[in-house]
Amino acid sequence: MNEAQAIFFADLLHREVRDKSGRPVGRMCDLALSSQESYPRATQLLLRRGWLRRQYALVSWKDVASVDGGFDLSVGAEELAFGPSKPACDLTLVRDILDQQVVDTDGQKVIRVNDVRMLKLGTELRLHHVDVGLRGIVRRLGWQWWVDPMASLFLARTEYLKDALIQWSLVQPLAMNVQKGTLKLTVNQKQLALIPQPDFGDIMETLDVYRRTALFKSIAAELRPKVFSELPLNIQKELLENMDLQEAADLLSRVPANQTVDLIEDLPKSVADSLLALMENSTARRLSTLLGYTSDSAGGLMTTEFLAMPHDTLAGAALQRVRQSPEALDTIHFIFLLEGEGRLAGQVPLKRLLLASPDDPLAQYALHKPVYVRAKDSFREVAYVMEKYKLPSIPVVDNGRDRRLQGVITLDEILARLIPLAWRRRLRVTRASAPPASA
Amino acid sequence: MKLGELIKSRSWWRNAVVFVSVMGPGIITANVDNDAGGITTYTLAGAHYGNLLLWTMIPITAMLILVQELVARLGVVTGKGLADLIRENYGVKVTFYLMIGLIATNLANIIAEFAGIAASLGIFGVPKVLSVFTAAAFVWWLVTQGDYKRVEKVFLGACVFYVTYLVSGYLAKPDWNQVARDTFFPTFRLDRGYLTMLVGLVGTTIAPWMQFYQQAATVDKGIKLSEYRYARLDVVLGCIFTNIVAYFIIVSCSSTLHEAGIRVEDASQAALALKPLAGEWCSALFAFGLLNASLFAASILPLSTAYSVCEGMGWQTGLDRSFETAPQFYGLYSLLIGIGALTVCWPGFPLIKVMYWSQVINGLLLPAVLVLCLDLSGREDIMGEYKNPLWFRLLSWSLVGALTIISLAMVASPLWA
Repeated sequence: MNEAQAIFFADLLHREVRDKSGRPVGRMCDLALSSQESYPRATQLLLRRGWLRRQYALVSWKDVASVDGGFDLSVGAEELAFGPSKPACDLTLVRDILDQQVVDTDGQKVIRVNDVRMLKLGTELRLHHVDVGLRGIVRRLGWQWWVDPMASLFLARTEYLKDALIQWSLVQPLAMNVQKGTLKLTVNQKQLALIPQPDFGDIMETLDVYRRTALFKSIAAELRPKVFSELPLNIQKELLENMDLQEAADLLSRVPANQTVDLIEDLPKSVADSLLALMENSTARRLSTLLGYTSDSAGGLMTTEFLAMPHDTLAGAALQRVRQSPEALDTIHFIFLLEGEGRLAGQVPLKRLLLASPDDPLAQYALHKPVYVRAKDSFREVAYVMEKYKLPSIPVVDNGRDRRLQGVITLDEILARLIPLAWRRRLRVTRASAPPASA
Repeated sequence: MKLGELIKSRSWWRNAVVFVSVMGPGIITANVDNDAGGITTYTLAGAHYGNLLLWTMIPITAMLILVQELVARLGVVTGKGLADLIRENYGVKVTFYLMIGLIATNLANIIAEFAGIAASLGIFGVPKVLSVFTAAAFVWWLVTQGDYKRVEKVFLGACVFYVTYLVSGYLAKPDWNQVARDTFFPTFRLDRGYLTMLVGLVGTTIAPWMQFYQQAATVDKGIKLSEYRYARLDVVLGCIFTNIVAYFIIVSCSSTLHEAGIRVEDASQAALALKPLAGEWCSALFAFGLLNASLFAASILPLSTAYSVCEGMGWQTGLDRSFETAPQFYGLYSLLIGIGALTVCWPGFPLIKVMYWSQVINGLLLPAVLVLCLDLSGREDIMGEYKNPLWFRLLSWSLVGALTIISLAMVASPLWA
């Protein structure tokens, strides 16, 4: 009796429920679960009677006397309150988990729950594994009695006979509170954080828009900007559209500026303005500068995250500042030297700085002539200059005469623009040379 | 206030731009409806009964719009495919048997499409085996290109070619006064052949795969609630255009074949018979229309079936996945095309019998799918404020009741034949 026993939910569903005198009172049609525990426990039993005019009643689990090929209750039939509609429950197995999509945080994909394996200890039932395999479907269809023997006879080593079970702790259920638009079970942050970013994007893409938003909202606030910035643009846009202005502003002020610009650019001006108004001042100012440029010009491509210092800084002090630079600044190829009111005086490659003696002025190690582009230059020009000087990144100065430093374009921005162009050309070339498709 | 609600479009040109971006699912689904089987039915209706069945196109269009609008709405509001929704709300059993039915009826339709391809190209003198295998390879290649956006453009292009039927209808020189009279003053006959044909027209115009494909395509396109009215316009325009095409097919066969008293058994025979009656061009256009329709439907039906089945059973779907991650999807997709192409080349294949059984399954499946759609779209917890209003529910339930009777009548028709 005290031995734990694994039992599939398909073998329990629609089993007979008997009252204390052993008379059948209906059939089990759902189980309410406790949402607090790591392996949810059945807390209530929903039973159903009648066929055309269905009636439902909820029984507390303490009134369940035994679970053995059916359910025996310790109360009489007259104590059950039947009603024409299903009573409200927070989280239930059939409605919220069975047949629904869940995220497999281990295999990093969205899967459908075909069956659930529970652990039975006395009368206690706990959810332990979800079954996502073909065998789960066969079991639900009630075909196991003939499919299993056939499989072991003809395909003895088939994967089918091993159940495809996933432990509940590795599963992120996506059951939703419809009104609130949030997930019913708090996300296992650690598990979700372990999913590599591209896979997470894939998972998001598989889900419908509401679950996408709910899953995103359930990620810890401090992880959101990072997760967000790795998602594909169309999903980013969709998530934003389902946020309040304030939420969107908070999020956008913490993702890389050039991405924010891409997202804000497409919005109607009034919406973009109200977003900017809600952001922190410094971020908003930077963004408005970036937004002033067309997206294909150097100004539109650049990021405003770079490291610049007065041209008379000493190498030692400069190195110190590199060490203290914020984490967001992850591509430092050059230290930019400024004179006067932000005029670009030169650029020092990081490697030269590393080898410099600490007491020398930084300017001594600068490239002998600053290489830069203007904000209005097209991205083709930028690509050309970067290729000519073999630079991993290039400073952008404003269009005026005083060469004020505005931002930096890194190679990956250029690559991101060049690759689609290159592909298009390649496709054209192969199309032209290949024989026309037969139709 | 959500950000999305703040982004509202006002100017008419912006509306037009949004419509063009949303356009597709409704128009494509409705047009594929005029596939080889559909064209055959319309041809026979015109050839055997003349203008007598023309009036039915108006109520059939209304019914089609009602059903397709409903699934488009389901798709936009829930963001999920129909198979998904059915699985999540009615469990694996219901889904499984529905999917078996869907595969059976769609497979028969796919076979009919390939037969249509072979027959129409046969008119131009292309041997059967060559035409069928080239078509199968083309279909497989087109869809596995992986970029549905581009494929959708090809499909939209294919819709344009249905205009050939309008032209061939015009070339057939019908008596337009008579046509108009017969359209707006319904004649009803209580003879068996007439009723069977009427049932056939309804059954071929409203088919279960359409609901699955429409909703999947709507969801795939990521149409938002704010764009819903454009999606509805897309559905309505598509259904109207489709049935105008069907109307013209009936008219052109009625004014030529029926007038001359020629009996035909299928659409390609009709195309041949049109030559002496209405000229070379009319006949060629008719045949080309059949080819286009068959090829178009042969591209969409296997895709739609594979999508729905994999979605319902919880297998990975999507053209953007590799064969290893979505083996069931690609397997089923290729299998359907393969079987479709091979059976047509099999001499002595009982096509008529298969088509009959496909209609029977269709007739059983359609009421089931419609009842589930109506139930889903009437539920507050799924549709929220977009659930069907009372008048719509009354109307749609009575229409579904009528459709069910019609479908069952079709299934039972051999009993009284």
